[in-house]
Order: sequence, then C-alpha cells, then structure tokens
Amino acid sequence: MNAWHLTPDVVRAYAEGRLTAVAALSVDQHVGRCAGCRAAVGATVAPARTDRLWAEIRERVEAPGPTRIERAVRALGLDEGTARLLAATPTLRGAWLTGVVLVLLLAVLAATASPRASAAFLALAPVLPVAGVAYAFGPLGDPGREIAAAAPYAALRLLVVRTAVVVSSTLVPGLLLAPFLPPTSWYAVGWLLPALAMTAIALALAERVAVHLSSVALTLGWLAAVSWSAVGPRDPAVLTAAPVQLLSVAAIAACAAVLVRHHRTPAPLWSPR
Amino acid sequence: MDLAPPTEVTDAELLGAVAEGSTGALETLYRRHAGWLTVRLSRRCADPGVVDEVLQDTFVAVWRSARRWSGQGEPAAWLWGIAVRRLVDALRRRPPHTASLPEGYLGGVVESAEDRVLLGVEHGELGPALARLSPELRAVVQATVLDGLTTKEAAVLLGIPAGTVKTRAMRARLALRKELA
Repeated sequence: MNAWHLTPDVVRAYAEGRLTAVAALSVDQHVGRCAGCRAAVGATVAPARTDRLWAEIRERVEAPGPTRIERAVRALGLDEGTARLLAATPTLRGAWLTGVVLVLLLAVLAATASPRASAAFLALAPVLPVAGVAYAFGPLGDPGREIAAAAPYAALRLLVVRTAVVVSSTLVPGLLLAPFLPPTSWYAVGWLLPALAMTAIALALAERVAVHLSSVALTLGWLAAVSWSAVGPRDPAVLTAAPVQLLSVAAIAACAAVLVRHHRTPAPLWSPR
Repeated sequence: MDLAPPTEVTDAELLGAVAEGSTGALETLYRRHAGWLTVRLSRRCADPGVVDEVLQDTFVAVWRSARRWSGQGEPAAWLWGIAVRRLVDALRRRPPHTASLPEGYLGGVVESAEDRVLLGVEHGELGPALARLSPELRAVVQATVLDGLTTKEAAVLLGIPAGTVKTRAMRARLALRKELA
C-alpha cells in the first residue's frame, strides 16, 4: 500500500461533496483500501445519524425471522404481511395437522378392515375442514383475529386467502389418504364438494350465526346423514352420488355470492360473539 | 493523516462472529464502516433519506449473509459491493431520479493539477487518462469498472438507458486505449 493518505482538508471537502469528480474518484478508491482514512471520513458523519440508524438496524435484525411456513407462503408470491398472518392460522399448527391426519388414518384403517366402515371416512373427512374453519375463524383459536380485523386488506381477499389455507390444510391430508380406501366407491373424492359446501355455508352464515355454532350444526347434520345412509339396506355411497354433488355446487355458488356481496361493504368481518 | 484502526479485532473476524449470530460484532462492524459508507453513498445519491435506507438494508443484508463472505479479499470492498447494489435496488423502486444524482458525480470539468496527482497515485498511468475523459464517460467508467456494477445497474444509478451506458462504456474504453497506447 502506498504511504499517501487523505489530508483533513481533502476529507472535509470529500464529505461535503466539494471535491471535483476526478478527485472524489481517487478518494473513493483510496478509502476502499485504507482503514485509517475510512475512519477519518466516517468521523465527518453526525453520530446522531449513525446511532439512529443502528437502533433501526438492531430492531430489524433482532425481530424473529420468518418461519418456514411464512417463507413458503412468500415463495407463492404473497407479500410479507399476508405471509405472517397466514402463518398464524391455527390449522397450520402441528397439533391440529397431526390430529387431522390421525383421525383420517383411523377412518382409512377401519374402512380397509370392513367395507361397511367406509362410512367412517365419509363421515369424518368432510367435517374436518368445517371444524378447521370454526377453529380458525371462531373465537376459540384465532390469534390472528385482532390483526385481521385491523389489517389494511380487502376483507374479501383476506377471507379467501385464509379460508384457502384452512381448507387445504384439512383437504390435503384427506386427499393423500383417500387412495388407501377400498377401491369400491366414490368415497375417495366424493366427499370433497360436500366438504367445500359446508365450509362455504358456515362462512356465509357467519354474519348472523357465530361460526363455531353453525359449524357444529353442519357437522351434526352431516353425521346424521351419513348414519342414516349407513343403516339398514342403504348404501352410504348415496351421499357421494350426483344429486348431492350438484346440490353442493349450488350451495358453494350461492354462498360465494353472499360472501362477495357482504364483503364489498365495510361491515366487520367476523361473527358477533 | 495516519490513523490506526480503532480496535485490534479485524473486519474479517467481525464478519465471522456476525455469521455466528453476534449482534455485538454487527454493531462494531457497523460503527466502523457506517460513516464512510454514508459519505460514499451520498456521492451517488443526493437524497439522505435514500442513503439512510440503503445503509440500513446493507447491514441487515450483512447480518443475513455474513456466512457467504468468502473470507478472501477486503471486507470493506465486500461491504461497498453490497451497499452500492442496495442503492441500485432502492433507486429502481423509485421514479426516475436523475435529479438526485449529486452534481459532483458528473461535474468537475475544471480539473486541477492536484486532481491529476491524486488520480496518478490511485490509478497509476490510468489516472491522467481518466481525468481527460468527459464527465459522462467517466461516470460510466466509475459505475461499471470502479463500482463493479453491471450495465443495467449502472443505468439505474446514472438514470440513463442501458443502451447509453453500453455505448458510453465502449467510447470510454476506446478513448482510454488511445491514451494509454
């Protein structure tokens, strides 16, 4: 390294932007390689400015980093705020997911043991997304509720995104396990539309009925239907037949219309307590 | 002026500690380098708000990627490399900003004998040749060669189209070659 260093005059002129472009170019280069002159140049910056920036840097650095779920959500192209909100969705918690998988696994095992017990899968798989929605949007488990209420998002978009997460966190285990059912029926996929329909109904009713109450009612209704179809000479497959599927599609469309209309108005999103 | 480095811990050691997750090391590194980075960034962007934001982003990036530092070369140069790219990113997010480029960056048509000496010391034979380039060509050389930016990045920094950066860089290269021949 050379023995040449910046004089105090040059340092001051450089910091104040008074050097000619050519001289400043040289100082740039020298400062990049000389710790002493770096310190001299650095000393011209007001300590208050440096301190203030450090406080902000420390805050950003010490903030908890994004969780794995948040990173995954961000990779899908959603912004940071949405990612954080979604990661707080209760149905993404390990305990919930494990519960869902275990319940479905038992149902599949029962079905393989006895074809009649296939009804157990049909009874359980569709009510899990409904329970997930009740859990996530009801007063029971939603830490994101307060944030959600105050979030600067279009309520509809928020609702759609969160519901998608909640529902897929319950549908995906169901879909993964369904192929292990005995290959005699439409159960494996037939439950999807009824499940979505019940979810949509619970959300559409949320304006009038607390979402956990409507979910319990829907669940009981579905269980009753499955039991009714499974006793006597009837076949529970009737619940996955065309009429039920069509009815489900109609219900989903109607509920979607209600939700869209409701959320265009700025009324608060979540149910009355 | 002959200042000893403020402490005996080297920058490389600090970066190692930052990679291990030490915020204390990050603070030391920040306090050692924030000043000159601020001044050097201010030479390329006249808006102090942007400079502050860029400096913050730089050290947050250092925190996240300290382990990616190869351990080779000058840590200060590595820091500057991050800072100048963050500056380009920050400018990219803004409306065209030609006005925010400080005058000194392009100015300095009247060059003194002292300038030429300074250039000679830092750039050897290249110095006087750089001094004789027009300010526009020199700015391009500074951005692409000395700051190590790509054509696109230099275009954002200088607020001119990438094609212009390319032609000016070519003209500058020709002029320098003629000077040095």
